[in-house]
Amino acid sequence: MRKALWTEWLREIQKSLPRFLSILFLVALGVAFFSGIRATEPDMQLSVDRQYDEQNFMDIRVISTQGLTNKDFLEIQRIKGVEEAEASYSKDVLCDIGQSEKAIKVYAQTEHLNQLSMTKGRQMKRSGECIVDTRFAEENDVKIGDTLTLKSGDDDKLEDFLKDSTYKIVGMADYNYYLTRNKGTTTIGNGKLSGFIVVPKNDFDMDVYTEIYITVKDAKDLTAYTDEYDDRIESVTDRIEDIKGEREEVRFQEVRNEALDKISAEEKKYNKQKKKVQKKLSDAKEKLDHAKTELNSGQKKLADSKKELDSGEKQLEAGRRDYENGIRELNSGKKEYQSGKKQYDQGLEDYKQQKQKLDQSKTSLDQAAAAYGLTCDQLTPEHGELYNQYQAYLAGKKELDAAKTKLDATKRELDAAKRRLDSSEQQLKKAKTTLSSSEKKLKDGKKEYEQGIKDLKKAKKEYQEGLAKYKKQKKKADTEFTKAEKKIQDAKEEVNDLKKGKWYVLDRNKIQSYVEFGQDSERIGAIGELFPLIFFLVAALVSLTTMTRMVEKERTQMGTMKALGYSKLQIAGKYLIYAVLATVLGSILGVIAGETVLPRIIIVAYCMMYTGVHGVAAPIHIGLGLKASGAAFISTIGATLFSCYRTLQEVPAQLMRPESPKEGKRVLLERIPFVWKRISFSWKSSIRNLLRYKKRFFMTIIGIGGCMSLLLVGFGLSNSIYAITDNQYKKLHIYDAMIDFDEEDEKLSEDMHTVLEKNEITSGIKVRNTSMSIENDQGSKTGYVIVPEDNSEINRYIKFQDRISGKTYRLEDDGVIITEKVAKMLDIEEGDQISLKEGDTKAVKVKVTAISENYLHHYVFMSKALYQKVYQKEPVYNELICNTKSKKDAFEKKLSENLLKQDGVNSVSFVSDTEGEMADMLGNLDIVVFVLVFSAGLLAFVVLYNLNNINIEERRRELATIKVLGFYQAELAAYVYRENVLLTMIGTFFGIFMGIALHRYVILTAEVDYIMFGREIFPQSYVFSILLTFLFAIIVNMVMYFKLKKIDMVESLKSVE
Amino acid sequence: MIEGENLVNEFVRLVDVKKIYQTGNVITKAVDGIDFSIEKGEFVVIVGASGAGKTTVLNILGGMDHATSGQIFIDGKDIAKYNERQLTRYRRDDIGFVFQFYNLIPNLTALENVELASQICKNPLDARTVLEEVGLGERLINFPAQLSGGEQQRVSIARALAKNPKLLLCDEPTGALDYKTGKSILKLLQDTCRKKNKTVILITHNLAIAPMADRIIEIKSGKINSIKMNEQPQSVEEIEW
Repeated sequence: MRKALWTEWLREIQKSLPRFLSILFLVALGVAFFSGIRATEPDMQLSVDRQYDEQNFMDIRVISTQGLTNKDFLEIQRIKGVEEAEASYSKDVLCDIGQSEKAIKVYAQTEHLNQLSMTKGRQMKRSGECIVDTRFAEENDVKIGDTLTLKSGDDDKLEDFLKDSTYKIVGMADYNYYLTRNKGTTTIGNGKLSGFIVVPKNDFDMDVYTEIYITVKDAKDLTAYTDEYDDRIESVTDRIEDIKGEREEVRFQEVRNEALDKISAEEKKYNKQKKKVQKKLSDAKEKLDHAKTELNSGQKKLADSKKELDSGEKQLEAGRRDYENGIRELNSGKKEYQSGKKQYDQGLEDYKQQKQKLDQSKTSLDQAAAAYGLTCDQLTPEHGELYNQYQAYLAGKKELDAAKTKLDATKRELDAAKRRLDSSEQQLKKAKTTLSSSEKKLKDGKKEYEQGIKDLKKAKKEYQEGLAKYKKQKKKADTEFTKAEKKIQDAKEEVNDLKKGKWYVLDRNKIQSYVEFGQDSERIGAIGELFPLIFFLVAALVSLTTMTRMVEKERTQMGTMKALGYSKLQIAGKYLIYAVLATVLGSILGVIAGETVLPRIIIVAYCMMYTGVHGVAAPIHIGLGLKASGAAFISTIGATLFSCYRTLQEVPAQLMRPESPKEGKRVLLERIPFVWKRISFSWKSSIRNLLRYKKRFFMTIIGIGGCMSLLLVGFGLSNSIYAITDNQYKKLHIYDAMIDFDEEDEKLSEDMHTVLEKNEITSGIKVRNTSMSIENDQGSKTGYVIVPEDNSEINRYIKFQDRISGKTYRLEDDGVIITEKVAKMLDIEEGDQISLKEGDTKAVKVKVTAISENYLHHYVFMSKALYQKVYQKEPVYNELICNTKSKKDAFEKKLSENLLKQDGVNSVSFVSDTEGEMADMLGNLDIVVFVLVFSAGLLAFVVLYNLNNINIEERRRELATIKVLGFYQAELAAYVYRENVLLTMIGTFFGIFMGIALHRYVILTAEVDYIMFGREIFPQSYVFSILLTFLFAIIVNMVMYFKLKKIDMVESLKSVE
Repeated sequence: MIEGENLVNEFVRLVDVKKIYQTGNVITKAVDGIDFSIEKGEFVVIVGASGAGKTTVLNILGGMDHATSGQIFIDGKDIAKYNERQLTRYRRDDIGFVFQFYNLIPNLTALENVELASQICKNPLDARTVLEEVGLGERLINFPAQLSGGEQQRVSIARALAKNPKLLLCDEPTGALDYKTGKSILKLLQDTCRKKNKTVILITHNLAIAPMADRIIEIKSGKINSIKMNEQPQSVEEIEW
């Protein structure tokens, strides 16, 4: 081509460098946003895919409800398309962290698949060491070198599946299975899985594997989330599904037999045990019976001896009476004897006196007789007197002798009596001895008897105790027997009911965080569909206008060229090259800047939530780049070509004449003279101008509107994010603290009361708080199910209300209140039924009575009565929601320390802390806001500058004329600016609506599952956005002022070009 | 001719006015020492070939450009000493300008175009009256694009007149018009001058117009070639070219 032409083209660029650059930057801006934001979706997916590939992350995971055997593993390994399989173990356990108990998942270390990405420390070397989840360690302040103590959270004993219960932390790692903070739910503990640890494989002591990890051949070459990848995986999943039935059956039989064996062994053991216990019991019974007989005989004996004792006493009494009688008789006998003796002694005395007298008489007689010489006996009556005397003597003697005999008889009698008396005295003496001895004997007997009674009582008591004990033991044994029998029976029934285990063949689409990340990337993708289009549209329109303007301005020159005989292409070439150069350079700049910077910023911002995502892959996507560049190219070059073509259609002579001015047009406003008359001419002109240059009008509206809407989106996003914590914790969750208790605590209720009675806590309510899956046919989301102790009291801590109408709800007994976001995601309306599921199996159905405003997490509020109804049991309250005296940091810290010392308290969380953490996390999204505001400014600036430039260029003559007419500089500026002000105002006005719509679109697509952004844009954001838009406009207009000043009045004299 | 001149009537006086452009080493003397005077109420025609410097003179007279040196007395005041703002005020209050290409604001109607100018000056005439006077009473509400060239130029003149200026400057007012229309415009200007006693300075390269003027100033290469007084100016109708 001609050198002169090239020179001219280059000069044109040099001459109009600002215009060239503005096209270049507009294209760059448009292309950057278009390709950059669109690249974010694949880049996000690529980032995860790369990480997965690096760590040989599984494509498929097979788990079974009955475990997986080595044979299963071998079968799977043989399946076509399986590149590598690795069988492994995992188990949910509880772990004590400080005061609280956390549910964590224990994984066995894998050999090749599912490698961890170590963040700290070293790999495990020996049994008893573990690697802990980085995030879990951070959250729970666990360090390398610490020891974790594990315990089982369900019926299985820890030692049944793990060799050790304590593990020393040697390293920290992230695991690709968990990309988010949220680790999902579990059936143990409070239902929330807090983290994971990895232990050496050999530390697992299980008969069967819990899972088999599988990678698919050539899947690494494909990018996760893509259809090709899904198809490739599906082909293998299908083949695994094919063997599934058979393997399930085999395993079922195995488990069944095993269970039956176990039951029969158990039964045997039980029977043996039963016999033993029964024998023991019967022995005891026998012994008791024996004791009873003994007791009875003892009692009888005692009764006998009592009777004997009584009769002995009676006898004794009688003996005593006899004895006393004897004594009395003896004494009277003695008295009689004495008096008899006295009489006898008297008689003897008398007799002795008589005898003496007689003897004297005899002597006298003898003497007398002797006198006679005779003996007295020869005295015959002749002796007379003497004889008489003798005779008298003889009679006396005879009498005396008789008396003597009598006396002797008396004496004999007396002696006999005396003998009798003596013997009776003797006898009495003997009787007395007998009596006292028998009395003593009786006393002894009595004592013995009393002892016997005492002994008997004791024996009786012992017996009764023994009996009670026996009865108790017997009862216990019986219940235990029935229990054991029932257990065996149940076990038998269970075996009968035993269902075939189920294999779950899970691809990556069943990994929650993988899916969430995918969805988030799609959200960004969705934003990428619309959002950058604004930039692109504005950029394309503006560069289009600029190029059109450039061509039109040089109409005369083109005419001259044409007249000189240059071909159309050669003439158009200048403008085409100009446009191509600007577009190509702009596109390259845009693609490079956009595709490397934007995805990085967005992904990094997202990774605040996806803590498991490490590297950011932001390669240049040639396809997207070409698409964006192509679109830019087509719009700019197309516009140039079109303008050139239209212009060059005319003959040179026509070209060299000025284009006939556009007709002035009346605007609608003029039909209202009342208003129109009051408007000054400058305003009239401005208003008409606005409508006259429609292209410019719309472009400015779109540009300013775009800027305004971007600013509004930026600030609005910030508002929406701010609203999350602000609304959640200032309007809805108005309590101060949440105290978690150990559900297993035996004195749970007491401990709760102790806490409630603390001075620092002003009020509180007991609730049951558990993690559950909220499900319906639309899907499943994890949320907290809260059962408060009292339906209305809970309103003092948590407000239930409709977000839009502000209508407040009460917790009713016939259904639950669920929160807005989950309701929206699962398409739940008032009156619908939902399932609340714990773990994989336990589910209840409840009706939804109200949908309540909420911004963070999902909640289901259920009344106590409803809980009782659906679960058939009383709720166990495991949490206190309370208000405290102060919200000061120091106070809360102290209170927290204090509370954690309290029995049963697991954890204490203050709303102020949570609010702060959330605010920090979400604050990271500020970078997005900044990017938006910055881009808005850029957009506003470039667009306004360009359009103003065109405006002034186009109207140089008019402006020069106005100057000649004697308008002051300020008046002239006002003349131009009026239009800009009007356009800015109109653009801003439209921008408000565009912004509201865009903001709505962005938050709806950008928000993650468990967060609901605020839907409102705060008034001050409108004000800021408007002010900023105006500020940008003012800055541009200030720059333009100098341009206006430079307009030479001489221009007015020139002919129209 | 200059002798015997009545200084009292001197309304415009240029004294040794020069306009020199310097680009790099090239010095262009667009106006190279011009002196002339014009009396109030005169119809003056400045003639000269293209590039003779007549437009520069007009620019300087109109306060659109500064002279490099010299004095320009308008109604006794030296506008050469004026600053930008004073010049603007001068343009605003004292000057009416008629352009070759009319330079109407396309978005304002005829009436509005006139009012646009009149609304900013001290003692304007009624726009409607002025337009009626220039023969456009029927076209007040038409936009420039709806008017013929002659009509547009009449609006332009009306715009200049409505300001009630001391001096009416016309830059080739017939340059873009056909003969007949041009003539009627010239007639309008001449009538204005005569009837309203306005000082009119008209720039043209067309010498044929000269006979209608009171004073004809011919410029050649930035200098005055001649200044002629026409004692009996002809009416436009009498002039043919």
